[in-house]
Amino acid sequence: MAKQKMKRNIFACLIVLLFLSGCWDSSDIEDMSFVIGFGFDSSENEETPIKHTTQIAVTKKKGEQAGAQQGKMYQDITVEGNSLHDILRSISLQLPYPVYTDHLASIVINQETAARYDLSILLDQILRDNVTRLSPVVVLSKQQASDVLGTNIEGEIPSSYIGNIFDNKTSTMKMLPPVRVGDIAANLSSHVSFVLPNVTKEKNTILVNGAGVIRGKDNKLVGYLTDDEVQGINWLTGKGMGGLLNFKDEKDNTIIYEVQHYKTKVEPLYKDGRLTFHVKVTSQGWISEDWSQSSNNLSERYIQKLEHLAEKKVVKLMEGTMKKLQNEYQSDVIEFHDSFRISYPRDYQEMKKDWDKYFADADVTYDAKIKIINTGDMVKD
Amino acid sequence: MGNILEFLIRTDVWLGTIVVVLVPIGFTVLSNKLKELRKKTHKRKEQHFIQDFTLSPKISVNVEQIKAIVGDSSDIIFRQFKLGMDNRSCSIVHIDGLVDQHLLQQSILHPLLNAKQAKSGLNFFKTESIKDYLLLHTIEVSDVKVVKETDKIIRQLLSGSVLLLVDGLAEVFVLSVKKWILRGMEEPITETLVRGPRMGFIENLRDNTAMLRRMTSDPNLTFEDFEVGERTKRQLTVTYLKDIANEKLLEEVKDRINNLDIDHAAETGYIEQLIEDDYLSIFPQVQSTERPDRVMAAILEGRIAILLDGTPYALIVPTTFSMMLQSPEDYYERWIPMSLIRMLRYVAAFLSVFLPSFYIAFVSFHQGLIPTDLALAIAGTRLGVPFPTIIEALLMEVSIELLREAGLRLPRPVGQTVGLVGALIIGEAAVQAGLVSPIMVIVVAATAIASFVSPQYGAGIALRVLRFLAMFSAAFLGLYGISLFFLAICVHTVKLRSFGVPYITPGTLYSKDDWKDFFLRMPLFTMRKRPAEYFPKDQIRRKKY
Repeated sequence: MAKQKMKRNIFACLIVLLFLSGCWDSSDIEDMSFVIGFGFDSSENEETPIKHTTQIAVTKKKGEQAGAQQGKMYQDITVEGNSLHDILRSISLQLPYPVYTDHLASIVINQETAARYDLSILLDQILRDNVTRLSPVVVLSKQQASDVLGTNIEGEIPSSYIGNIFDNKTSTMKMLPPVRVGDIAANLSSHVSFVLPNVTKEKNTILVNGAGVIRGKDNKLVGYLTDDEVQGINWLTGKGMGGLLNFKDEKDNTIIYEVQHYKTKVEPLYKDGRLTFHVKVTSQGWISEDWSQSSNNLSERYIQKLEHLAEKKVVKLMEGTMKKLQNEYQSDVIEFHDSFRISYPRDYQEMKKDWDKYFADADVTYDAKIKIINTGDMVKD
Repeated sequence: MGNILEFLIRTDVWLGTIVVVLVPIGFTVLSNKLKELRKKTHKRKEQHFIQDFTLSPKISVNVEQIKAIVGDSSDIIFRQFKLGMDNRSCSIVHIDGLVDQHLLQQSILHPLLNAKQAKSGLNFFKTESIKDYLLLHTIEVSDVKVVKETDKIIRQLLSGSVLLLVDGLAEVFVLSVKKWILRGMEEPITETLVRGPRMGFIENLRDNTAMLRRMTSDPNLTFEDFEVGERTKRQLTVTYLKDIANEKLLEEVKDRINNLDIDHAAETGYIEQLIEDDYLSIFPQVQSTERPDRVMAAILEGRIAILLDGTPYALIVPTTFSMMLQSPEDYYERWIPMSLIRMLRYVAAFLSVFLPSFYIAFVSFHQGLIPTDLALAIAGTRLGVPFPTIIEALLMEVSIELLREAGLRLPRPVGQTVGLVGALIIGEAAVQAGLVSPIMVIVVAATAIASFVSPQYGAGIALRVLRFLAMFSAAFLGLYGISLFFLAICVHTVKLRSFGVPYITPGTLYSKDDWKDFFLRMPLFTMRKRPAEYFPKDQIRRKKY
C-alpha cells in the first residue's frame, strides 16, 4: 500500500514536471511573418555576394480584403549578405514579427547565380533548418529572382503562383515535374546531375519554360534545355504525367496525340567496356486534333500510319535531347544511372565517380510503341 | 561544481522545485482526505422513526396510540362509527388526498355501516368471528391486509392506505383505495424520437412497472422490491428477466442497493451516485432513461434496470461508453442510414471534445500544418484580436455554456429571448468589436452543435467538461498535449468499470460479435446473440441467421 502511494507520488511529480515547460512553442498565428518564397541572386559586392529576396505574405484583416484588392498580397524584402541565415535574421530588424518558413512554397534561383555558386552551399541553410520543409519547389529564373518574385499578378503571391503552375503537369509534356528541395538534397550530396525547371517573368505573369542542367560534379548550372528538349527528358525518364505530342504527317499537317499513359524502360548493357542503353517507350493515347483532310478517315491503316508517325516523333525528341545531354553537357540528368545500378551493381560502384563521363560515351538506341486507342468523337458522312 | 552551485541559487529553480513538490503532495493529501471521508462511519443513534406499541383489543387505546405517533396533522382523518346493526365501535383512519373518497364511501363505509346479520345462523357479531365476517362479507375492496406490526401499519397509513380499527380486535385492517394526483403519461422530453413509442415513465412506480409489464407477457420479467431511505422508505424496484440476467451481476446490484445508506432518495440520481463504481470519474457509469422501450431492450440484453418511486428516470446497469451514443431509434429505422448516423455521433462526440483544442493547437503551435491559404485566412481574421487563442476560446466557450444554462433555467418565453440575445452578442457583436475572430465563432458554434448530438444528456455533460480540459492541454503543449490528454482519457476509460464491465467494451475486443452493434448497427438478423459483455445466461437471441 505504501509502495503504491509512493509510486503515485512519483507519477504525480512527473506529471507536474510536464506543465513546467508549458506553452513552450506557443505563438499566435497572426504574430508571425509567413515566408512564401525565397529568391537567390548574386550581387556585385564582394563582401556580400548573395542578394537574397524574402517574400512574405501580407495578412489582411477580413473585410478590408474585399474593398482594397489593389493592395499587394505580399511584401518582398531584398537583403544582401554573405550567409543566408544571417540575412534571414537581419530581416527581423525590419519586420514586426519573426519570420516563419514552414509555408515556404518556392525557391527561385537566378541562372547566373546558379552557374556561379555551388547549389549545395546556397541551399545549405534551408536543408539544415528544421522548420523549413522539404516541399518547396526549386526553379531557375532567367531574370533576377527578385524581379520574378516581384511580378505583379492580380490577387496572387508570385511564389505560390510558381508552385501552383506545376499542378498542370498532367496536361503538358513541356514541363518538368516539380523539383522539390527534398528531391535535390540527395542529388546534391551524392553529386548526381539533375535538371531544374526554369521560369521567366513576362509582364504581369510568370511562365515555366525550358530547364537548366545542374552538373553533379560541381553542383553548378551548366546549360539550358528548350521546351522541346524538356519533352525529350520527360519521354526519357517516364516521369511526365501526360500531355500532348505534336507531330506532322508527310503533307505537313499538324496532328495532336494526347498521351493518356506512357511508360519508359531503360535497358542497360555493359559489355567489353562498351556501355549501351536501349530505351523502350510504350504509350497509349488519343488523337485529339487532326489538320489533315482525311480527318474522317478512321480506317485501321490510317491509324497505324499515325501511330508510326508519332513513334518517329517521340524517337526524334529523345534523340535530340540525348545528343545535347551527351555531347554538350555530359550530364546524366535522366537517371540512367539508376537502371544501370540495378543491372550492374558492382560495376556501378566503380563507375559512380565518373558516371557522367561514361554516360556521355554510351550508345543509346530507341524504340517507341504508340497505340492510338481513341480518335475522338466523329461524325461520319 | 561551480556551475551546479550557481544553478542551485537561482530563484526560478527553487520556485520550480517547490511547485513540483508541493502540488503533488497537495493532491495526495486531498485524495486521502476524500478517501477517509468515504470510509468514515458516523455513529448515528439507532433511529426508530416510528415508535413501537402493541395493539390492544380496546379501540380507543389504539386510536390514541396512532394519534400520538402521527401527531395532529390536519390531513389525517379519524372517523368513528358503529358497525352496522351491532353496536361495536369502529374507526377509520386515512390521509386526506391520498385516498379515493368516492371508493372509500362506497366500498368501505357504506357496507360497514349497513352490515346485517346474515341468514346463516352464526352470530357474526361475536368478537372471534368478526374478522372473518368483515373480510368475507363486508369489505368491498380487493386489496385488504390484516396487519399486527405497528410500524407497518403506520407506514401503510402514511403511504395512502385506509386503516380500519375494530373494537375487540388486536389487529388492523389495511385497505388500499389509494388515489392521488398524477401527471399523465407524456413523451419523454429528454429523449425524443422521430420513430418509436411516444410513452415515457411517470412518477408513479406501479404505473411504470405496468408499462413494462404491458410490453411483454414473458413470465420471467421480475420486479424485485427494495426500500431505500432510512427515513422516507421509498420503494425501489429492480427489474430483470430472470432467465437472461447474469446471477452474479444481479447479486452485485442487490448487494449495492442493500448497502445504500441514505435518509432520503429523492431521485434515481441519488441511487446512481451511491452505487456507481468510481465517484471521481467524469463519465456516467449508470445509464438513466425515461423510455420504457429502452429499459425493455436493455433487460432483454441481460442488463438490469432500477426504478424508483417518485421519479420518471430509470437506471440501467451496467453501462458502457458506446451506450452513451446509441439511441433506440438506431434499431427502429433501417440499418444503413442508422449505421451512418451512429458513426456521425461518434464523430460529433469527438468534435465536441476536441474541436476547440485542435483549433488552439493548430493556431498557436502548428501553423505549419495548416494549408497556406487557410493559415493566411486565419491570421487575417485574428489580426487585431487582443487575446491569445486560449483566452479567446475560453471566452466563447464560457459564454456558450452560460447561454445554455440560462436558457435551461429560465421560464420558456424568457429563455427564447436569452437565446436570441446571446446569439446576437456572440455571433455578431463580439466579432464586430474585435474581441474574437470570426473563425473562433465558427469553431465554437460547431462544437456546441456537435455536443447537442449526444442522445444521452449525462454523456453530453461529461464531454462538455472534458472539452475544457482538452483546451487547456492544447494551450499548454499543442497537439502533443492533446495526444497526452487523449491517452489519459483512454487509460482512464480502460480502467473504469461499470458493475464489472469495462467501460469501453466492446472496444476492448472482448467479443467480436459485439462489434456488430458498436460503431455500426448491423442488420438485425446478424445480431443473433445477446451481447457477450453482460454474460447473459441465455446467449442466443435468434435461432436462425
